Amino acid sequence: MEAARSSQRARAVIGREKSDSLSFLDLGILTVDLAGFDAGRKYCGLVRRLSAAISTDLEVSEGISMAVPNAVGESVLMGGGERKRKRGSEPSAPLSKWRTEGEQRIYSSRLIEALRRVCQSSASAPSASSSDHVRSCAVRKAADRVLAVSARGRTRWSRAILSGRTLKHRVRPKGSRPKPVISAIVARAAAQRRKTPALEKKTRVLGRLVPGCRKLPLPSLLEEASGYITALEMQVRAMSTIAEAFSAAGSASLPPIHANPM
Amino acid sequence: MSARRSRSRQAGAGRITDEQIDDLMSKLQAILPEARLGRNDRVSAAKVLQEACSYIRSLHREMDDLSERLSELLSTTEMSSAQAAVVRSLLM
Repeated sequence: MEAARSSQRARAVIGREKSDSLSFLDLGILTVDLAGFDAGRKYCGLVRRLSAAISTDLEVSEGISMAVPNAVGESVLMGGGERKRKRGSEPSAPLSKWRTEGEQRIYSSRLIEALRRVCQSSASAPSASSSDHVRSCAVRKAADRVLAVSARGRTRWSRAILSGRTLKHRVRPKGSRPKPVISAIVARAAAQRRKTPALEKKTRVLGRLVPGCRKLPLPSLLEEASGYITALEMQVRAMSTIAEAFSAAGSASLPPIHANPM
Repeated sequence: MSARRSRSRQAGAGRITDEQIDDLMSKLQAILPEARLGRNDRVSAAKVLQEACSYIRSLHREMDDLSERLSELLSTTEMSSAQAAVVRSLLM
């Protein structure tokens, strides 16, 4: 009913946008319909942003439309769409944005929404998902998804996460094998020889660690790894802040709400 | 799926320059925590890669610990009041 109306309105909006992106957006919108959006207004806003994204970068919208049916992506994208996207201003400081307090705050609020859903879903199915491990996995996955959406699909690792990446939870306990450290001079010569086998191996290991970057050549891999590391740092900061706040709120049974110095 | 996508495939210059790689390496080195490498120029490419890998692994471990902790907190804490408190503290 309302979903059909909002879908019709959305299609009217699409009709004004690029026609070659039509089928693509349709897929996103159909999945959104199934996911049960109830505000047609927000809906059209999403479509507008999707088509704006398409006009710049196809993979952006690909990542977003895949995130849409996800329960996390639902409110996350709405929240993300509210902010005006300035095209062209992003590449200037892509890494330092993860360090800003504003970005962390946005991530934290999105993450709390996602955690609320995890809480609700585990409450509604107590028998199935009451085990701690399952829930903590759900928490981790939700955190990663929210992080990936915060990257706005501009990085390869974020797209890989959103499209349902390969299992990451098997961290093989390799430890750090002591390897001979190549001196700088030799390393430079090796780089000119286009990578020694040692570098090859380490490159491959790094490619396995960053999601979606297994077969990436070295320059792109280095870029992706830089962005991924800074994003992960922000994720850790945000989650530890949230955990602190939760435990503080939990210990004080009836908190008179003060500003908690963090 | 998007395997054919080429983000920055150099159409003109076929090869990737060593300067480019060096530049990216130093950028990555700058991101890694200082305690691991020191900021001098003498750090080799292999060391940078190795430290990056171990740093990412430690970040993942931290993430797993935090997720466990958060999931425990979620189960025990009453969601509404805690959430209000958290959001308020975040916004301040």
